[in-house]
Amino acid sequence: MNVGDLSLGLFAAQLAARGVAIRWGPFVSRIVSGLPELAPPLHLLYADFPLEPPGGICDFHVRVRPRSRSVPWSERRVEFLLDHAPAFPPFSRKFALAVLEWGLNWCVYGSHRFLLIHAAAVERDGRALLLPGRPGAGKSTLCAALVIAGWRLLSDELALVELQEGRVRAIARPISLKNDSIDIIRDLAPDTVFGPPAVDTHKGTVAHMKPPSPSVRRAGETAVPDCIVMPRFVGGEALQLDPVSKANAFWAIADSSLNYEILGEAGFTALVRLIDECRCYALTHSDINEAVAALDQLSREAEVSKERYAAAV
Amino acid sequence: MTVVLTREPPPPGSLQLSANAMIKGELRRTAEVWRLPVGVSLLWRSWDESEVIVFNRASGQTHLLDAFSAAVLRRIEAAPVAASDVARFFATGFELDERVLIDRVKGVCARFDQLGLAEPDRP
Repeated sequence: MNVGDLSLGLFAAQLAARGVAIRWGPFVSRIVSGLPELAPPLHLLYADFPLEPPGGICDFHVRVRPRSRSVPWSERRVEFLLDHAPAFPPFSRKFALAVLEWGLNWCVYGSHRFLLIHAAAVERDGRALLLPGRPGAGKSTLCAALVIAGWRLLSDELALVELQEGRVRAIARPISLKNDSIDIIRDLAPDTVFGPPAVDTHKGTVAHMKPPSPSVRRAGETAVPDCIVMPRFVGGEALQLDPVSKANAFWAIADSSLNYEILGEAGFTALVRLIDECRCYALTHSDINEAVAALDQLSREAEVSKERYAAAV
Repeated sequence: MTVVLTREPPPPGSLQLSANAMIKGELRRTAEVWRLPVGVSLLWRSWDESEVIVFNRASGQTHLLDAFSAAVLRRIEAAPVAASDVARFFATGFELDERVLIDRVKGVCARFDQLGLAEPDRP
């Protein structure tokens, strides 16, 4: 049974009472919240995600609840709890959905059976394309545009690389878009479904794009790492897609990883293997359509490109 | 981030320390033997000739070395060796000026000492 198979009323009631156990890729999180404004967007964005039976084992027990106000005239706030403990300071209640999404990302940070990379990841023909980058580099925007162009969403915020097999896991949760990126994606695909925007967060306006149903259905399928592209959106710049040396790519990914140092030798081995298997590029662009076309081309030329890449580097 | 770039020039202060130590005796300056610290074990990976990634199992740190630094560390890893012998080895193999090389090798070794990758073989 999927979230969308429940009526909104029943979903909201379960969410407020014993919680709903939602599977996203390798994880199951039991989410509890009595906030009435949280149920509709959650029901909408997670409609295709499988529900786990009550009483089953969950990786994360999370709760979003109102934080009691110290003085009556202060702003209403909510806090995210992981295993009954607040994960980070409370935020304005207006951002309840964003707080839940940030919290679910937070949950993953402790999953050291994966090399965790701050990157978006998409798949085509069984091959994964990783888009690492610092906040503001445009990786989520590019990820959303690629998904609209037919790539399968693996993950938006965090790429999960298996330590043993080296494959990329999917979690396919909603894509978090910020500020101008929201309109760029709306213009690109007017039918795209978004949750309610959270305005004036510390990141600006944040809205979550509903992941395509096929991506959610196939969240159990892993992908072979094939390509690492470090995107950079620079207004007015012509598109440039240049090979990057593997040593530099290694360094960039180690820098983007959330647990490379914690994993020690296992992290080093996993990252070496990832870099061994991937072609590595830096992408500068100012036009999302051009960027998608360039990455489509890169994907089509997978085998040929490996030779060209080797020659260029 | 504990990863450290050794291709960057060492900070001036650290070289000063190293130079002061060497003034104490001609014997030590010419014959100081470098070795891996006890317990240090290295994993290596390179995809081209210009840069090498090395992982120190003991510290959990990763280092990006240029080709020259990597070659020096590989010599030290193989067996304890004097900086002058390393310099002579490269001077002979690549027809370079040994006097120039010795300072460079010492600089690299001093940096390795800071990073816990090598240390003088003190009795």
